Amino acid sequence: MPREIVTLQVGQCGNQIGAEFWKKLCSEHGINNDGIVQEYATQSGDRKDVFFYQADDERYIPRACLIDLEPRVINGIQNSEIRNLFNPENIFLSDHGGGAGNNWASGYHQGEGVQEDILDMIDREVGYSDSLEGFTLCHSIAGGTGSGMGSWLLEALNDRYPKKLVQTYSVFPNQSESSDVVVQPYNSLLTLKRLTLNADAVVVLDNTALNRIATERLHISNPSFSQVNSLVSTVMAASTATLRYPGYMNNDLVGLLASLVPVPQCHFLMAGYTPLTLDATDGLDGAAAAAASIVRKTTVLDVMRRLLQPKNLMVSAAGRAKDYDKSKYISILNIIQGDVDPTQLHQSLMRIRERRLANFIDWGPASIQVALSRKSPFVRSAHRVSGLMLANHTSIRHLFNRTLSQFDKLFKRNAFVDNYKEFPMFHRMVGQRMEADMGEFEDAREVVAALSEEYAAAESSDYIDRADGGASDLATQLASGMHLGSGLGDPRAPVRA
Amino acid sequence: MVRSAACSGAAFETRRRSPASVACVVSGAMSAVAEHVLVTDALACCAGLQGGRYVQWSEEARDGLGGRYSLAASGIPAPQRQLLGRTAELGALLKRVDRLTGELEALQPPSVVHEALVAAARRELSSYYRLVAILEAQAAAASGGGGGAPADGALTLRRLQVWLSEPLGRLRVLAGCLEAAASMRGGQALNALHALSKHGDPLVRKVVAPLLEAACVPYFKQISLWVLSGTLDGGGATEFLVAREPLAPPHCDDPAATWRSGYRRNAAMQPRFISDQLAADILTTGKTIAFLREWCGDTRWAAAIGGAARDLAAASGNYRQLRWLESGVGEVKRSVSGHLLSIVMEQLGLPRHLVAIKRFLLLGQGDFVRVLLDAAQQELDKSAREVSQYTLQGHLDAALRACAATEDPEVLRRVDVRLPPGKALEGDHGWDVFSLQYHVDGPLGAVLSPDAMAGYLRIFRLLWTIKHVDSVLSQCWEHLNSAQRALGALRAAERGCGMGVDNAELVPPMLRAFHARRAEMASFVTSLQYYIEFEVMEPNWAKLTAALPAAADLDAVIALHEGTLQAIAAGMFLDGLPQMLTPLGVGGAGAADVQAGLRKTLRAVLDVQGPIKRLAATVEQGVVDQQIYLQRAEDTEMAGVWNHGVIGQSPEIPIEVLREVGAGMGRVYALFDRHLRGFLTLLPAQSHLDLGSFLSRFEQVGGGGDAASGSAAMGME
Repeated sequence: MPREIVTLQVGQCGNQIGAEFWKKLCSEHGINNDGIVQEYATQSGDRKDVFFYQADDERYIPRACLIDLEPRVINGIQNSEIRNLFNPENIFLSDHGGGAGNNWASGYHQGEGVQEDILDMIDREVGYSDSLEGFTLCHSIAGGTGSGMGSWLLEALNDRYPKKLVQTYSVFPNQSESSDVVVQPYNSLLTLKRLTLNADAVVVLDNTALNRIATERLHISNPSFSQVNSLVSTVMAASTATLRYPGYMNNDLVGLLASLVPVPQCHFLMAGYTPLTLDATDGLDGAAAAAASIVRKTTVLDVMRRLLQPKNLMVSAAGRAKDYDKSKYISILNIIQGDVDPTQLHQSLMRIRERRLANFIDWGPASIQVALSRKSPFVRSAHRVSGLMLANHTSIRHLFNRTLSQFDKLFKRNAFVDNYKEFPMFHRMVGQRMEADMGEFEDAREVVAALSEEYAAAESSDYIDRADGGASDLATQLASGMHLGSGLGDPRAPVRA
Repeated sequence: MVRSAACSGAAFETRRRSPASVACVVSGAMSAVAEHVLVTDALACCAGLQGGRYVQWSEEARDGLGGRYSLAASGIPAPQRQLLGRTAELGALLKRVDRLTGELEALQPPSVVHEALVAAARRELSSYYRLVAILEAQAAAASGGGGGAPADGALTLRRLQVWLSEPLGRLRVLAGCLEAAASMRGGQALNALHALSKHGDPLVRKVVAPLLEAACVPYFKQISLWVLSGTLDGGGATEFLVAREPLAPPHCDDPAATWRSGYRRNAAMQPRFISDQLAADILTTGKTIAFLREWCGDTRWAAAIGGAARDLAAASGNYRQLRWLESGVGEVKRSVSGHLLSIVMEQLGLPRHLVAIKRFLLLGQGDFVRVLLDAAQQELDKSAREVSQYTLQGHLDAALRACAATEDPEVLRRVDVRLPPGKALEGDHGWDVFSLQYHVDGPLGAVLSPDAMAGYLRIFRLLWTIKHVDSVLSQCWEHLNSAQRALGALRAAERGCGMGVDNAELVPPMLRAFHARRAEMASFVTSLQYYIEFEVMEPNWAKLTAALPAAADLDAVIALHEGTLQAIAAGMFLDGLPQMLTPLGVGGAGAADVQAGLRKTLRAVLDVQGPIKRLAATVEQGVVDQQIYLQRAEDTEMAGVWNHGVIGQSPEIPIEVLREVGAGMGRVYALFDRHLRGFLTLLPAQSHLDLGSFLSRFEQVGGGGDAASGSAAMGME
């Protein structure tokens, strides 16, 4: 009943990872493919109602809207074993079924065109909850539907539900040069603008890093979509664990996000997960399956230390080591699941602190925060303890910088802009003649560049007090009026109250 | 048998008499009196009769010593006189013993130990009388032969003396025992007898041993009655080693009070030969049975101790068999304690209630807390006097229903809203007075006693305050975010229409600073919660749940539970070392100061919502003004009128408001900072707590503050 979250999955990628996510949630809560809670799971004391609502016939139905402009993936879901799970009214497919052709502008425009249908659907879904906390959007930022229609949706949600949180799981494209979608940089940049302005938190899932993890960490030479998506769904499930298995702290999304996002612009989060395994059914041969069935002793310290290693992060490391050394953590939240002795926990934190394994910003208080969560009793795991790290790290700006530079390369040649020009956002009518208007691109570039600068600025100590480029003395004075004149010496200096 | 009531009613004699209670009136005249006459007199005297021709009992008390035998003034030669005097002492002793037994019997209220003692004394006396009867028969036989000179073998005074020398000793000891026991009761009397039984003289031991043994019988019966049925025999209740304490009215229905102070060990009545450990076991065993019977309505304990009961009952009480008693009591104790524990733990489900308490009173069930905070917020924001118990109860019930805990309704209905009775203080908000309580009834109350619940209440109050502050900070984050978005909208409109809002450029640095302040406060609250959760609550609770199943008896369970509560309260600075003065005269911080410091800091954090809300509202108003302005501009444009008024009133965010808000934030933050520093300064004095990792979380607070004011702390990290 309380603080529900509605999930919106948009586009091919969004629906694929969304479907995996729901499968994962169902198995963790003991809900079968038809939404019926299994006998063994009726007394498990978990919170199913954050992500599901109960229909009259006792079935649990995901609070999810499945939206796409082409039918392939959603049809796949409707023919899969979970076809009965979703509310059929919550599935939106465009009439023509032609997709968005990897064109952001097409996705955005089509979104605007069907806004009544989609907003009705969302309104209805919101109506099923008592006190909606916010929305989760699953999409990719490179294609057409997830990026374009997702962008439109972000703006629409802000407009319609201004007080609700919007969190996204955004899959960033593989940024190696040989990308199959040439206009990726355009789509990414335009979506990034909305993610910056219209979302409260973005969990960045970098396809490059996901593939790297699959090949290097899981030793899969040619990772399939479903294998990569299973990684994503693991992260999504773990990041919502404290909402679904309530404990003393971190029981609402706003609490989680507020601790991760101390300044609103910097709300792009990296995720790391350890230990990484695929589900035992996923093509492991006999020996590997047997090895996986041995429950490994993993300590909390091991988990926390591994989470801090870049190779476990689902975002590509910064290109240059020098930049990486300068970069800092703005916040870290480790969600530790499993059988953990709380005393072990703070000892581990002390050890990590002593060894200065994490480099934090110095303009504000920051430390590793830990949330303990139960593990689902219904999912067998080879590991006693597992951990998810959500981190706000300044090195993420390199990801934006790369998008910017790739964008610049295309844009200065005016490459492929014609595809965009036919949509209203990118042209204006001068009399009867259509004239290209690339203002939106420039604006998006400005927003993303500002975002990157914001992260860069956060690396320096005077971040809070730095004078903005255009800000007057008065602004500085107003802001610094909040500081204390004196008495700020040693924090331990005695103060007599 | 002679039963003289000679001195019944006489004042209790506590002084030990000298054995020679016979006064001889020695006369100078010498006249030969026949030996057998004197023997008859002597025997009469020995039998405690009034006397004979030459020896007379006189009741007249002299020196407060009671009556005595006096010899005729003349006619008795000196040697006989002396011998006669000895026998007369026997008579006097006999009378004294008689009197003492009478006194003991007449004592109110009657004492079972005394009764047993008297019976044993009577047995001793009867063997004495038997001897006297034999001697009398002998004397009669001798005197029947004629009044001449004593025949050979006739009883002479001297022979009589020989015959009676041992009884004389025995009677002396008996009288001494009775005397010693007369002034004491029950266990004390046993103690006195026990002391005499350790006497160095074998004769004394020989006499005392059967007396002690006899006197122990009723006492041991009481022990087995208590140990096997948990009842105190009405008659002997006051002289047993367990005493029932009368409970004052508010407590007589309280199982905790009954368990803790309903019965106590009466050390004065504890015989020395029963060790303290055994006495404690005896107390616990009987108390457990009484508790089972009175509070648990349970009868199965009787079957559980059947075997042990037969064994205990079969062996008669003998203080030399203490080992048997020890093992017997031990066994009964184990089985009834186990039985009571199984009732408390399994039947009544103490662990289940503890889980519920942890979830609801210690706020372990996060979704429950979340719903309750959301639902009750509006009501609790009211002043304390206007808060409605019924409304809050409704919110509580909704939260209980909503939470995922699969508690059965029987547990849920025990959670209840508690508002303090009486008038709330002026200026208090609902937050300051609201608390939850957990009702327990029946035997569980022995563990979850009113005192323990008061402890939980204090812990809840602090936890609830922290949760409230935490929730307010989350809301502030949302306010700041919507301000940020409003600013975005404002800029978008500015870009779109070229019409800005004055002073909007002043807002971003302020927002950033506000965010930073909020983050700093949130970091404090989060650290505090981490500390409480991971270093205080969870470890102590884990210890409790691990140790509970191994607890041997209810007292152990109670001790564990109270220990846990105390440790949690101390860890949360609610309890701890009192204010101390060090030798240097510098006051160490007491727990009360730390607690006050913490509360002040938290209260300061609450105030941050004022400026933040105001700033957000101001920015949002700016957006509205901008929209109105643009609308008006459009309208006039449509109408084709150029309205100069529009230009003059370009939308603005009033600078004064920004100044005010900024200054307000400055004040709030300064206060927070001061209180936080004060609080942190007090902490190192709480040496009984391990605060290392808690304090280490704040090392960067100073760094942050310094860095913000541009000082040298930038080099950190």
